[in-house]
Amino acid sequence: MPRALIPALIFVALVVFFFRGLSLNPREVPSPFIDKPAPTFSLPSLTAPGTIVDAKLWAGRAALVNVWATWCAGCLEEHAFLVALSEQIDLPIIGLDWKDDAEKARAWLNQLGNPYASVGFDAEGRTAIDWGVYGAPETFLIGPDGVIRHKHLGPLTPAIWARDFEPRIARFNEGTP
Amino acid sequence: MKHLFFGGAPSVVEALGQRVRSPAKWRREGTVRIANALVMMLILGCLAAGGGGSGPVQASTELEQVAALAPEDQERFRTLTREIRCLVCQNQSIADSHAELAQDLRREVLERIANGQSDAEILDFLVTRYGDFVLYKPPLNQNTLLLWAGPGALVLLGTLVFFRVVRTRAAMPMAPAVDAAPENAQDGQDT
Repeated sequence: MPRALIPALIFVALVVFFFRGLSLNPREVPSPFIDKPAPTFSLPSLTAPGTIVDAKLWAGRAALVNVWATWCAGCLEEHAFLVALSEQIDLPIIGLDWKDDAEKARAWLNQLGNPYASVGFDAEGRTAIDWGVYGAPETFLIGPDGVIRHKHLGPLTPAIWARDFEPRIARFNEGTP
Repeated sequence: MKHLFFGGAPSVVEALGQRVRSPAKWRREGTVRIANALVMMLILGCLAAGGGGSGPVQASTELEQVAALAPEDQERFRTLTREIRCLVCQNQSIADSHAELAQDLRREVLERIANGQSDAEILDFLVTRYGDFVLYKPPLNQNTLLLWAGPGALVLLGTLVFFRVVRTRAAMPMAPAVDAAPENAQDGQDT
């Protein structure tokens, strides 16, 4: 009697969908920027007053753009890893200091170490909106062609780095983004 | 709601201060204040997620800016900000949310309205940056086809199944039972 099985099958299908839903994180909104050229970036430098941080700094090279702020707990969490990472990798880490207090931010870098090749200071959060940022920390991986290849939400960890970033960077080096 | 929140800010600071100094007085202040404090704590929690800083101060200048718009543009501002999701407090529109990001996005909307951009241009600006998820009303495209067509398809399917069941049952010979509930007898035969 296959008919009696139909409700049971529908039930099983719902259970599968709901169970899958339990492990999805609604905060992880897919970025529409993946595989699109990075938005413009031109901000006053936090660490070198009077200069401008812009995309020319990393033109033709792969780079990381890390959104951070001193008010952000996750940024403190990932900071030590970023410092260690900056000594291991040869792509520059560009900081985007989002809606922060410049004094506090400079003190933070002096105290905890500065992993950034340069830091743009986004006082009003306009560049962050251009980049579709909605929380910190966020880390973008930009290919040598200036295209965003990956975006990570939340603190970086060695495991996430190895899983999501290293394979993509290896592909840049092979020349197949 | 907004005005309650703005008015709430100083009273909460005051109330929390009193709580430390004299609990008895705090209790006499009544439930309004406690509710006020709870609401503010929720908002502060949300602010902490979206950024630190001076929410109410910025917002009051925002109110002035909105008031300076033409009446039809004020209405557009209200409609648009109710249609845009705050990505920090995801179940709130940017009109409702006090997260810093929501304030920044309201500022973007406001400036674009003041610069004469159309609603479509403003929504497009946000969608290219944050994806379709910022819109409370998702657009009809390949990804959302099931979402839009699903309920209608289910109603149609249900109607078809209903009529088929009714027709097969009508075509069945009556059960020979004379007294009790003939439907039950048929139900038994159906499967």
